[in-house]
Amino acid sequence: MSSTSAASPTPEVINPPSSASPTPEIIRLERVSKSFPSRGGEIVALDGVDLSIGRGEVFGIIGHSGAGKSTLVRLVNGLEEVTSGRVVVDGVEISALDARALAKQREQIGMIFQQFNLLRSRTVFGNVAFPLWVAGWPKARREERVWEMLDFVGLTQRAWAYPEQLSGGQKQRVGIARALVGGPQVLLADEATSALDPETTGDVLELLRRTNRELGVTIVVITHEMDVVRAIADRVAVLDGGRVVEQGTTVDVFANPAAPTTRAFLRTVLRTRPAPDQLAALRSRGAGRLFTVTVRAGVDVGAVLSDAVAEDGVRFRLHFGEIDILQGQEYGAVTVELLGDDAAVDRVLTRLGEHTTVEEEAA
Amino acid sequence: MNTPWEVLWPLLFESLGQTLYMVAITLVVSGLAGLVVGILLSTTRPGGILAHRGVNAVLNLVVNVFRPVPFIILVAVLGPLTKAVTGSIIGTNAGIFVMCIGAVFSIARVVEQNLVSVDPGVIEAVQAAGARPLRIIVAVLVPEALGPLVLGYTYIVIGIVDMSAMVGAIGGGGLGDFALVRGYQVFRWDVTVVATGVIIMLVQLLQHLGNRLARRVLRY
Repeated sequence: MSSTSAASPTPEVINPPSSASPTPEIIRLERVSKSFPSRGGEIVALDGVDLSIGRGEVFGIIGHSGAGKSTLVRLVNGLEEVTSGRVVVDGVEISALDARALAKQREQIGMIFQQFNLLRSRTVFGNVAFPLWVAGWPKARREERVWEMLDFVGLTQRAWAYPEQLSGGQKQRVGIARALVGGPQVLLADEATSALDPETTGDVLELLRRTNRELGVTIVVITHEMDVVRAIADRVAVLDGGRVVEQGTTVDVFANPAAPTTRAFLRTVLRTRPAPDQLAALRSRGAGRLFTVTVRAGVDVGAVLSDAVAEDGVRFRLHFGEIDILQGQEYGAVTVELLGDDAAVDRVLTRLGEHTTVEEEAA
Repeated sequence: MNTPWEVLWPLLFESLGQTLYMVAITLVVSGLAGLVVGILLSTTRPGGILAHRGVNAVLNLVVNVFRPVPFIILVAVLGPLTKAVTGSIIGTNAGIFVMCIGAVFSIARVVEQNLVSVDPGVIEAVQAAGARPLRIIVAVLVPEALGPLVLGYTYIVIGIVDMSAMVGAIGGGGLGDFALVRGYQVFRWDVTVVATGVIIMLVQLLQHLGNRLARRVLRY
């Protein structure tokens, strides 16, 4: 399913085995590049992106602002045109459609936004009904369907309210109802929770999860927050400088981040390594060598350390770290101090190194 | 010098009627034409839903040529065209024609400004929902900008009242004509003041109506 891996000139892509979608593919990006003209040249927003998203998946795309993620998601529904490459959604090449066919195709692809983008001149009901009205549904069916969607997002009570009378979370629920009302195959979520407080973010993510599970809608989640990826994404791609620098199942990427960008993102949700000043404090106190050991599913770091105490006469102290469980799998890292003679410490390291990644916190 | 008010009052009301007639016709005709031109001005801008460099440049040129011409000069310059269209270069209909030309370009600019200020995110959202340009204009752009548009049109109406006073110069009738002919030119300062007062009251009333309508549209 990963169609162009042979032609791929992107050696930075890590974890290539998991780049193919686990279910039949619904969205495919092939060698997609996008540049915008600018004063004195052009800005390359995307540079040879290959992605394959499976039907029914929740696929996260994470990147810093300017990484190209908003551009990427707009290529999927044709709000932006590719400069080169192909975008295929549900067997239809988006990049080859004319304006009329593209508008028709967009009825199959819902989209929600950071700023909700509701029509101020219409009520909640009017906003949700808008796509059906565009698609030419008869009035009776349209109304029935709108009530169904308002019920799904829990807003039947606010049907006649105007957007300015709603909270942020309610606005995004309207956005979700509007995006889903036409029964799309795909939902694009562009920083959909970035303008919301943490609690409301949780509610909206839960609604997206229900959308995925109960309606079978494939969801592409664009975000700069690792927490969002952790909460709902089955798989994730990390975007940096217009390129996919890493992709894989969320569990794999969280447990074994390879690209520096990914590690930087993970540090925002997981405190796996002491900061330089904390490290200096540890070093001034302790006599032993400091190591950061990655914890991942199926690796019993604790057991290896216990054995070391028994067999090699090496003692250890736990200083720092965080371990979390994602989809039933442990991941994280701990920083330990190993106390003993150098040869024994090296033996412990070798044994740990057989199971997981160990990095010495150099002085 | 005694002012013959018993003669002037009926004439004043007749003039008020003429002014209202000219303003109303001009508002409807140039209001619609200006709406269309303004929509084209805003949507053909770079990045607009009908982005077209050529059309935009031509429209801008036409608007920029007409708009700075002082109205009284426009009346003179348009003389032959006015005659061709209305059959005469003087009178109420001639006045209305020149007023329409004078107003349409200002209205176009007001419409353009208000439509450009509609949140591009909202436009993007309805495009993502499959809406095409004509539907976006009619169902999204204009309704979303309706409050400011009402205020903009109110501002324009008052400009049109101003113009209607000036077409008195070409025998268009109306309050301006009344103030000049029955007041100023025959040294009846009190008549001029009364006519001016009626114009001021008319403007106040129109502004009040516009504000109320805008408040209703904006749901304040």
